[in-house]
Amino acid sequence: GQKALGETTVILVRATAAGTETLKNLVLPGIGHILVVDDVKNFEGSRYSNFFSSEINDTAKSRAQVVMELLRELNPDVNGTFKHVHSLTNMDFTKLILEVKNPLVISADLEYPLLMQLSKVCAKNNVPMISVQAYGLIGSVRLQSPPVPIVEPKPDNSTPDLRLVTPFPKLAVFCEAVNLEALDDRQHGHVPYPVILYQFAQRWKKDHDRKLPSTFQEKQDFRAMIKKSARKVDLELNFIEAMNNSYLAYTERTVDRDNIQRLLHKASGKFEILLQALLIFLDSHDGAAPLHGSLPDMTASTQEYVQLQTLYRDQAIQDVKELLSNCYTHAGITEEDVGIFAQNVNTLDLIQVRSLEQEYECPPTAKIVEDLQSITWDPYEVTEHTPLLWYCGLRACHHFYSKVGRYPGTCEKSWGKDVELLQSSLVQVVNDLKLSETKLIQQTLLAPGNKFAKELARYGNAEIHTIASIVGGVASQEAVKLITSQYVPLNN
Amino acid sequence: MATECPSEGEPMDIDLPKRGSLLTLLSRPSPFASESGALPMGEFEPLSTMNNEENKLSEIEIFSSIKVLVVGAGGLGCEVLKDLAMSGISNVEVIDLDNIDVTNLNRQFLFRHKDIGASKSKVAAQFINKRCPWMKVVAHHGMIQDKPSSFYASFNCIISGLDNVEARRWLNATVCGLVQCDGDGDPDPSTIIPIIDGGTEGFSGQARVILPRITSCFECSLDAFPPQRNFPLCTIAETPRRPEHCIAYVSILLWPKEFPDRKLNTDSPEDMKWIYDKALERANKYNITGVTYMVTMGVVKNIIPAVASTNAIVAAACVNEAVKLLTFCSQTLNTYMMYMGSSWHSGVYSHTFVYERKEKCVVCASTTREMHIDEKKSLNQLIQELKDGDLRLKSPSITTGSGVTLYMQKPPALESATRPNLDKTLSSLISSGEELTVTDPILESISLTIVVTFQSNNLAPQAPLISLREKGNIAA
Repeated sequence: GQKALGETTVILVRATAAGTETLKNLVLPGIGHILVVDDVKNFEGSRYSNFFSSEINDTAKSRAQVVMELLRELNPDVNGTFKHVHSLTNMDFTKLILEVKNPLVISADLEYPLLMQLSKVCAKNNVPMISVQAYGLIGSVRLQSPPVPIVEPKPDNSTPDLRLVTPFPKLAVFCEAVNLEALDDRQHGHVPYPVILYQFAQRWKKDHDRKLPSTFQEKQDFRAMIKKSARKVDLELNFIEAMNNSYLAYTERTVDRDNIQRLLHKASGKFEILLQALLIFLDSHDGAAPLHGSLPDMTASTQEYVQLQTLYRDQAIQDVKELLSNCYTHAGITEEDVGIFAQNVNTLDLIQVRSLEQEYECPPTAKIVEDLQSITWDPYEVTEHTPLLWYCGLRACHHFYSKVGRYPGTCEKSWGKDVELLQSSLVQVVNDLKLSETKLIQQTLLAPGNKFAKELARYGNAEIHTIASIVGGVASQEAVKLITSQYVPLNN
Repeated sequence: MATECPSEGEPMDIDLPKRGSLLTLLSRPSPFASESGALPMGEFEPLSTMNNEENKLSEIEIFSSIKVLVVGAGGLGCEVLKDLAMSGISNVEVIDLDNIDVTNLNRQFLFRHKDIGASKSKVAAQFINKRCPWMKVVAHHGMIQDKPSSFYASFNCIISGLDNVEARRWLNATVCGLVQCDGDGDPDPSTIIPIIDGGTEGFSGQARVILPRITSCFECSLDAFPPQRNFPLCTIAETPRRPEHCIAYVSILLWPKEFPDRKLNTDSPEDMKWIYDKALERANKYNITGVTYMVTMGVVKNIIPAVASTNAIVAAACVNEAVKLLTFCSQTLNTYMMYMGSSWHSGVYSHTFVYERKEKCVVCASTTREMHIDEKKSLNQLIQELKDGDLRLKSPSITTGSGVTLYMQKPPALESATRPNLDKTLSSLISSGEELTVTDPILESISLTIVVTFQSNNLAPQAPLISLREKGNIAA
C-alpha cells in the first residue's frame, strides 16, 4: 500500500482550497510526487480560505508555486513540481498526464467546459480522475476511473474458513487423532472447537447415511449432540464455542464460478491474470477455493492452537504457490498480490464507473432514471436535505455557466437577478434527468419562487474552507483507495 | 472565463464576476438561515456592508468579539485550528496536556521534526499565528480538569477533539453545569455554551452538536461507548495463543512485579520498548508469531491507527457547525452526524440523526436515581456498584442527605477518617429510602442524588458471580 502511494504522481488542476486540502491529505501519508497546475497569479482573495496560499506573497511567486512549496513543507520526502499557466482552457492535458508515471488527477472547482475537456482526456488515457468542488455550503466529490477491481474490500465481518466439510488431508489427520473420551477434564475443556465439530460431523454422517445436517430440526439435533457430550457444559468454553459455531461443521463458503467467469470477460491486466489462475485452481480442486489460512482466536491449549494455526497457514501458503504457478505470466505479480487475492475470492468484483461525459452529455439510461425516481419516493426526513435536490442544483449552476460564462450570483450588485435564469437551468436539468413528473421535484425544485434557486444564487460560487476541507477529506480517502487497491471506492 | 478574484487595483463599480467567500454568505439573506431549521439558534441578519465601500468589513472584524475554545491539539485539534483560521475567527484558545511525539507527524500537520518533545498546544498556536497573521491563538498546556468553570464560561463556543471518554464526560459535565435555570426551570440562554464534539477512529468518525439542557449531552450517549476490551486472566496467564495475550501478560502481570512502584507510562518509549521485548520473549517461548512494536502499542494504548482524511472531514464539519451557530447563516446540525469512509457496501456512507436525550441522564436531566440493594452489603460494595454499573463513576464520594459524610476520597485526612465505613453494612449506616449525595471527579461539578431502598435477597446465588468475576476478567 505504502509503496503504491510512493509511486504515484498526483496532478492537481487548479489550486483552490478544495484541491489543496485534497493534496494535503495525500502528502501527509507519503504520496510520491505532486504536480500543481494553476492559472491564478494574484491570489489575495483566497488568502482567507486557502491554508496553502495564505501567507503574504512578497516575491510575486505564482499560486502554483506557493501551494506546491507549502504542501511539500508538510512532508519533505514528497517530490513536487508546479506549472503556472495563463489559462487552463488551451492547455494540452494529454501531454500533461502522459508526461508523468502513474498519474492520478485531482480537478478542483473547474468550470463545466474545462471539466468536460479534462475528464475526456483522462477517460481516453485510462487515468483516474477525482473531481472536487466546493460551492457555498455544498460540495461534491466525483470519481472517474477505468474499471476498478475489488480485491481487498476489508469487510467488517467475515465467516472463518475452517474447511471442515472438505478438509485438506493434514487437517483431517489432526482432527481424527484426538481421542476426546481419553482426555482428562482439563484437556477436554481445551480442545479447539474445529476438532470437536469435525468429529461430531463424522459421527453424524455415520448415523445419517453419510449426509450432513440439512433441515432445521437436524441442525438443532446436531447442536444438542455436542452439548450432551460436554462434561461441564457451562464451564467448557470450547464446547460452547463449538455449539455457537456448529454451522461451520456443515456449511462451507463456495466461490461462484459463474461470477468469476463474468468478471473475467470484463477484466484486464493483473486482475485478469489472477482470475484465469483462479479458474484453473477451482477446476483442479473440484470447485474448492484456495484456503483463507487464518484461524480466529478460540479456547484451546497453546500447543494445540498453534499447531492447528500452523496447519491452516501452511496449507494456505501451498494454495497461494499453486495459484501463482497457474498464472500464465508473472509480469508484475508478486506472491503478496496472489496472497491477498486468494484471501478475498468470495468478494471479488469489478466496479464500472461511468464517465463524466456519460453523466453530463448523454441522456440517462432507463436504469438510471429508475434509480433517480425511486430516490424521490423516499426523501430525507427533512425533505429539503435530500442530496438529489442539491445534485440537480449544482448541475443547474454548471448549466448556467455554460450559457452565461460565469456562475450565478457572482456579480455582487445584480446577484438577485440571476435567480430567474438559474431557475430555468434547474428546469432544464430536471427535464434531462426525466424527473419533472415526480412529486418530490415538483414540490421543491419546480415550485415557483422555490428556496433552492435562491440559495444557490446566494452562494455565488463561494469558497468556504470548511466545505473545501470536507470534500478534500473524502476525495483524498478515495484516492488512497484507488491507489492502494484496498477497500471499496465510491461509485461514483 | 475566470471566476477568481480580480486584481486589487481594479475599481469595484464594474460589476465583475467574482468568486464568493464567507463574507458573501453573511451579507446575503437565505431561505435556509438558522431560524428555518429544526434547531434555530437565532435570527439571521445579513450584513449590509458589501455595497458600502467605506464600511467594508472583513470576516475578522465580524468575529472580533467571539472567543472559541479548542480542546485537544492532536489530529482533530490541528485541523480545527486551521479551519477556524480559514473562517476568520481570530480569538481562539487551545488546551492540550501532551507533548509532540514522532508518531504524530504523519497527520498532526502543524508539527515538524524539530518540534518533537515540545508542547502540542504551544507549537500549534505558534504555527497558526505565523501562517495566518490575523490569528491570536492562545495556548494552554495542561489538563482540562485544572481549569475552573469560569474559564469555560468565558467562551462563546467549545470545540472538542478529545481522544478519550473520561475527558469528554468531564468537559460535558462542566459545561452543562454552567447552565442556570430560572424559577420555572427554563434554562437561561445566555448561560448555554454549545459544545461541538468530534471523534474519529480509522475511517469512521462523528460530529455532534450539544446544546446543554436543550439537546442530548455526551453523558446521554455513554452506553454507546463500551468499556475497554478484556482478556480472560486464565488465557493471559496460562494458555496464550495470540500476540495480544503475550503483550497483555507483560503489561498487566509482569510489569507490576518488576516495577512495583511505577505505573506503566504508555507514552514513554523506554517503557514501551521494555513491554515489547518481554512480550516477544514470551511469544517466542510459545511459538506465537505476530508480536511487533505496533501491535504492542495498539494493545497497551488501545489505539486504532489514525487516518488523516477522516480527521479532516470531522474537524471541518465541527467548525462548519461553529460558524453557523455563531452567525446564524444556515441551519444547525440536529444533532449527530456519523461518517464511515470504508463502507463495504457503498464505499462511503454518512447518516445524520437526532440523538435523543436520555431520560435519566445524570448530567442533563436533574432527576433522582433509585437503587435497590441488599442491606447486608457493605458501603464498599455500593461504591463498587457505582463504578461497575451503568453510571461508570471513577472514585465516588458519598454523603447522606442530612449531611453525614459516609466516605470521602479526598482530602487524605478525611479519607482515612471515613475509611472504616467502607466495610460496614449499609443497614448500619443509613435507613431504607434515604437520599444520598454522590460526587465524582469525572462529573466534577454535578452531584447525583440517589435514593437507596433495601431489599432482602439471598446472598447465595450471588456468590458464584463474584467468584467468577474475581477469577475471570481484568482490563487489558
